[in-house]
Amino acid sequence: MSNLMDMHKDDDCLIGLFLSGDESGFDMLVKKYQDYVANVAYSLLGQGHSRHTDDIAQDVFISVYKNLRSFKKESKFSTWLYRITVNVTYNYLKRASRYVSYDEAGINDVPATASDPGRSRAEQQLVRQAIESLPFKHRTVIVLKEIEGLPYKEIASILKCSIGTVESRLFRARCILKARLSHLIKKEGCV
Amino acid sequence: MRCPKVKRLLSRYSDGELKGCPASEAIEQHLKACSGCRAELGSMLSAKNLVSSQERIKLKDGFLGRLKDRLRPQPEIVRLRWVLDAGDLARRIIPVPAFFIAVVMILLFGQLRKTQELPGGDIDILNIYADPIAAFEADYF
Repeated sequence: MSNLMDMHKDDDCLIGLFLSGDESGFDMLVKKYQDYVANVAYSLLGQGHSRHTDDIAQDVFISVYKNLRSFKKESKFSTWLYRITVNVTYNYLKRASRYVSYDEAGINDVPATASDPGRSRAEQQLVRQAIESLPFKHRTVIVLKEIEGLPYKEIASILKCSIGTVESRLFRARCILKARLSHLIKKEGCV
Repeated sequence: MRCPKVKRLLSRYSDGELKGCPASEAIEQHLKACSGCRAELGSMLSAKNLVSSQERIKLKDGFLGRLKDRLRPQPEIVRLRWVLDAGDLARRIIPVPAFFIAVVMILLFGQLRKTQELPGGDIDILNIYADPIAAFEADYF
């Protein structure tokens, strides 16, 4: 995340390059942010839809491509990008919940992961299921805070809500996670 | 500071969002003396650790190429765009006259049922075959 913070200084140059008609500016933005976008989408999608991560990431960048001219620079580009990612993922899940059952995904289609070698696959699955069981707005705050490591102020800016709202959603989400992962937490405490 | 207030602020405290605030020092003082809140903080940090060590994914190679393919206008779709646009326009416009036509039809139909006069007298044309005598009179007189 600290890399992301350092890199955002160049974003204005890349946006300027794209707006002046040079597509390489957009290409560089994609290369720079594609994994951040994919990780947020992957964490928000849950196991049932994780195979659509690539499509969601593409949708996000298509939206960026179409709307970059109307980006007013009131916030950082990364904040704007995270907001688009959250919205695109939310819209996808809303549409999918009407037509697709959550258990239809094939585990083989899940994107390649770089998991913590100290943690077993089963534990990772349990944590992922616990995150997935959270309501979307709580899940979003947890993902942006714990996985992306963003400060409260930026999360509030992404979700267009107050810092107090972010705080209360995080508090509630953590209470739920603590209850659902109590056995893993005990184990963690013993290590 | 008392336990309920400390527990409410622990989430912010563990995220480092209280740095420099007087509340931060008060919480630290409280934690030294209260084992319950210490345990609460420990379990919160464990939960944070579990979530933050979640697997991170890497997109398959060639993401930019796949994205560019989607951004490139498809020739066939461009050629057929007017059909799609016309279809979309029709979908938007057709319901309005269809609704009015349906309303007019219903009104006319109701009026017809009320006032339909046949050579045999005031016989309801729609129910004519429900009454065999009326049907006979309508056909022969």
